[in-house]
Amino acid sequence: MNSGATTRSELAPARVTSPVARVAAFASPALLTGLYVFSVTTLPTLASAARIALSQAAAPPRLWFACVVGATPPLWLLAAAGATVADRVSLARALGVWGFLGATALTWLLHPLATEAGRLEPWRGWFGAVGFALYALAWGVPDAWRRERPEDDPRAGLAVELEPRERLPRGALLALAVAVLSASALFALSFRVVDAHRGVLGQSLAALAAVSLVSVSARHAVRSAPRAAATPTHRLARASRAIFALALLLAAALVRVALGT
Amino acid sequence: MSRLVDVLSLVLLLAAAAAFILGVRALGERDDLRALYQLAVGGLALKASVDLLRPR
Repeated sequence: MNSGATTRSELAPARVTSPVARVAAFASPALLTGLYVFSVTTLPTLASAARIALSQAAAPPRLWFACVVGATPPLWLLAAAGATVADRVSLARALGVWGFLGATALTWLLHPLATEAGRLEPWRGWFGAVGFALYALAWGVPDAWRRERPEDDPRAGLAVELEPRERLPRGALLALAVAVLSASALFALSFRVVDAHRGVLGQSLAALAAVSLVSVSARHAVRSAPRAAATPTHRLARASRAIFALALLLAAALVRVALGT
Repeated sequence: MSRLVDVLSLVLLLAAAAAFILGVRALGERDDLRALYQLAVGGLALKASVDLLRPR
């Protein structure tokens, strides 16, 4: 029984106080994925800009500027790590997200050939896209690195282990795996579009489709109460417009095939 | 019946994935009309899948 009013500090999660532990916790998600993304995407651009600048007698200043800016992303990461140690979360996030991404984007924009779709190597594009997704996830977990697990806190006093409220339905992981594989295939294919304008459009559409597929498959994986409350008729009625439009498109394709046009 | 609608929803999700892949592939082959068609089919299949899954 609780003998008195529980103060806010008693409810607050335990913090990782050691600077070494903080850096280690920070390093695992954000620093490593950041360095990976830098080495896959920005470093080759930086090396290319440096090679061109050194081979030309009168290299344009923007190439030298690209070399300077392109070398800074690791510094932004280190600064973010420093802000983390100082417990300045907002500053760390600003440095790690906006500073890092700004320097990366500026390097690409300053290099005259870096953003030409036909020149992007598909494997590097794919690894870079996956790397940036992981980097976003590393920063997306709000303050997770600052806390220990609540159940590890001796003050939590949990008598029994926490049980999940619901089990995942059968096939949930399969649907998610298929969606993730499809999203990967989409990205890989989009970087094979060599035409410059179509390449940009293809990569944008692939990113949009990949995010939509993964988010819908995640909904499939955790589907629960709201779906169970609706009758199958209600669900079919709700989807009828989209299914009707889909049927129209398929019918149009069949007519086109039948007419041989 | 509810199980059938669940399966239909999953099939539509897979159809959307396949349509998106074919659409981006068609874009790479410079077949813009087919690409637009496949992307529209993918979008509608995804919308239908979501509507079947979680009606409001």
